Amino acid sequence: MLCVSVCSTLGEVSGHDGGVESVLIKVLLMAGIGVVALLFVRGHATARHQAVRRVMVVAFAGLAIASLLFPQTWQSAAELLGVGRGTDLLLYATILVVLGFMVTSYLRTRDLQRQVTVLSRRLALDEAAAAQHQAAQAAQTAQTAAAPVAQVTEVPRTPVVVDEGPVFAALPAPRPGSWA
Amino acid sequence: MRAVDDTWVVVPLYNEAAVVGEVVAGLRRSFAHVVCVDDASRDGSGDAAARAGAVVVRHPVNLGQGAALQTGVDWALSQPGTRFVVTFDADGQHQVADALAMVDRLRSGEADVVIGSRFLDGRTRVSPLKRAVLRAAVVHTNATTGVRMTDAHNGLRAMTREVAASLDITQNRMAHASEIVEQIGRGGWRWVEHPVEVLYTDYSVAKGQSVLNSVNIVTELIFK
Repeated sequence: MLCVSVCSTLGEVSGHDGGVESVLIKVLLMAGIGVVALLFVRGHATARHQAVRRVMVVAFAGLAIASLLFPQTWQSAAELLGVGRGTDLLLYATILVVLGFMVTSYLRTRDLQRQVTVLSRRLALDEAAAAQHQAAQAAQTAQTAAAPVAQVTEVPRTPVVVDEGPVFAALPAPRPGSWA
Repeated sequence: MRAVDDTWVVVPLYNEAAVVGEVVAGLRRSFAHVVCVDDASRDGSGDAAARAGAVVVRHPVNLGQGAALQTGVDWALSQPGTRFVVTFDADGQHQVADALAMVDRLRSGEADVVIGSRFLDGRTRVSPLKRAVLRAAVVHTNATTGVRMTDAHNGLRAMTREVAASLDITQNRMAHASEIVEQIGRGGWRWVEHPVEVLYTDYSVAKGQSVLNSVNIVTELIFK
């Protein structure tokens, strides 16, 4: 979708004046897209990326103030680059920024997803191992003390692990030889 | 017959309460150890699996089938005496007999990995559209992984402990099937394909992957 909009943007640019100037904006826009693509391939967000992002935010704020104070700047910049109007140039810049934002937030979301996965897996495995251990202990207690089974199975039914109940019931006895 | 007790069957589980009990019970007649990784199901699938005799590892949030497989593999490797790991779908489309035969091939030392393929014999009935999509997946997987298989997206696999330990599935959603093939290829493991039957019951067709889902798979593979 974005590619389509960028491509049509580029097409539009060439439709304006033609000539040497419009090549300039094409090169600039393509370089911008290239940088974004490179970001995408390079992957992980590093401290350097963060620094660059912060510099960009400051520069963005500075530019925003500048364009309020000197609205004509965009128009002259546009003329310099061979784009028809300042608002068009602003649009092209915005598309690039959106593209970059999409890529960086995608990368950050992906890293976050991986962290959540690792964390959830650790939690799930630890809980299952604890359940297995408790069931083994319960079964052992039942064997040695010959206590009523009902009493023993009540033990792990604390509120926290209450939905693990069926796991305890289903787990085999602790001695490996007795599994089959 | 004595149940196989040096093998863990890993069953990724997400909202399959209607059938998972039967699937686990069927597995448990031949395999002593079955672990279901409940990927935060909302229909009590985990409890159904536990009642049928499986160990249930519960993801606190839904992470996807690839993540569930990796969790199950981690569990299997953490258990003493594990020599082989089998992956098996929860919706009842795989046959326990196929899984047993695949483990036997591992046990004979013929290969390190045995991958199920529904295209090696005439047992499986596949609709033309699904066949086309699966073929496309195979072409893609073969092209990107350098491993030549006839069925890239089959959930029935058997592997030795060593292969299982080498897996690192990072594709949480559906693209993990290609990722596993890729890692098998890169690891230089000896692999063979084994003809398996995939039963497309009304249930699994209604639940299973729609052809549209291949769009997701392709997207995830490109943007990994």
